[in-house]
Amino acid sequence: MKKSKYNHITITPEGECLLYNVLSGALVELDKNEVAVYDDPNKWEDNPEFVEAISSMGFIVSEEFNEIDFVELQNRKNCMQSDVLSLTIAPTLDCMCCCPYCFEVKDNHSMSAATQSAVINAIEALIIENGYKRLDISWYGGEPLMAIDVIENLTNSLLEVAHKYAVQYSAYIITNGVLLTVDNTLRLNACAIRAAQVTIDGLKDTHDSLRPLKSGAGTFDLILSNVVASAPVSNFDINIRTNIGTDNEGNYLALKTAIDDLGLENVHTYAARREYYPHSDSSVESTCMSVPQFSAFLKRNGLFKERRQRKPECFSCLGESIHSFAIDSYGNVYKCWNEVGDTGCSFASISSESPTITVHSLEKSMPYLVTHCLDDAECKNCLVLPLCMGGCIYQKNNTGTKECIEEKYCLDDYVLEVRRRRREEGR
Amino acid sequence: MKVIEKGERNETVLLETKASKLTRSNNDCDHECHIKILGH
Repeated sequence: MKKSKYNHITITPEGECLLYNVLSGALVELDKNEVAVYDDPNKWEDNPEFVEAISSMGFIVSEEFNEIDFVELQNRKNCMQSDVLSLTIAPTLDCMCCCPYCFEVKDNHSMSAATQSAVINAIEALIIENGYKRLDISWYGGEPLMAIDVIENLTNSLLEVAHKYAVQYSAYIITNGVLLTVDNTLRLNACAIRAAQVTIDGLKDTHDSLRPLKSGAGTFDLILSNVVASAPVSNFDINIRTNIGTDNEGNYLALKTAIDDLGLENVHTYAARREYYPHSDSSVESTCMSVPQFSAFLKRNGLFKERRQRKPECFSCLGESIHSFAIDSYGNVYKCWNEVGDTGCSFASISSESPTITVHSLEKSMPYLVTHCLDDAECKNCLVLPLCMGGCIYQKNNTGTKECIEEKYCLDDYVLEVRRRRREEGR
Repeated sequence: MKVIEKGERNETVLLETKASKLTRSNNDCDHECHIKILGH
């Protein structure tokens, strides 16, 4: 028997010893005697119950068990097997904003009726072929609310298909919030869309400089008034995302406090790292934080508690899965939503000429589906590999560099947050 | 020993071969709040 290479010990501010396994996700608190036994394999034989208990949670594994091979096995499984079809759909590539860090290729095109019909046929064919149990849709753009009629038309058909094949349906929208009026929120709600992500990048002056309309006018007042007016709509959450860079990090807590003080039950805030992509304005690069810098920002401001908690799924993102892709308004199909509108990255297409998706450039999907992350010595030996699996594939493919996850730089904070959440759940 | 989180037994990877256990959706690579929507 040997200790798992994915064990991590966190000593709490109160002096408790927490043992976390990054592969199984198990977390235990050990007393001093148990720490002494755990630390010394010579004591394991005399403490069979303890050893059996922590072995069952993956803290001790057999000498022959290759945990990296096991990570690879789980990764393969998660990339290939799913009962969920996850789609990102851009009903339009048009947008009224001109944010300097935007990475998208803009186009004032909206999805035609013929393409909408072809998209529905293709999705139905995929459900029949693969027997999916759930269909997840992310409405994306451009600015999707500029084509809300397309969202309504497609939703009507998608709900019919979901009902026909007893598929659970969920939908979410990513919008800049400029058109998120109460009327539109009610229309989205009628489209079974249960939440929106809206970006506000700081207090008024900061946000207006980072998220202007094409005319140059600011959007802060308009977006915030839309959020306040739409918040009472039932069964509709608004998640306010702030893309943090070096020029607005000092604004975040003030913005968060201002929004929290509004007392809007369905409105949540979170900070994300601003990223620089090939189509972003070149001035943006110098304002982006590195992952260690952003981790320090989260830690300094106690923001781990508002973040989605990564789970040890041995999976980087849905770009790795054969059951997930993004569709633009022309019916071009991509592996990653960051590519939407950049037709050179499209690996397949949907059109009325074919009843299902036509794959025309398989090679463009391959870097996502076969990531070779375990060929990278740093990743292979990394403690947080099961949480990360090599990070953002798009970033790696486009810049040749890899970006590690925040948890790598503050794993103790992650572990303490796991404990806090379990306590909150009453475990 | 106080168990806070049992975690996933390694053996289950061979036993559960149909339903996906992934908690991610296509829009939560870095969209933390999506967790609230899917109820995870």
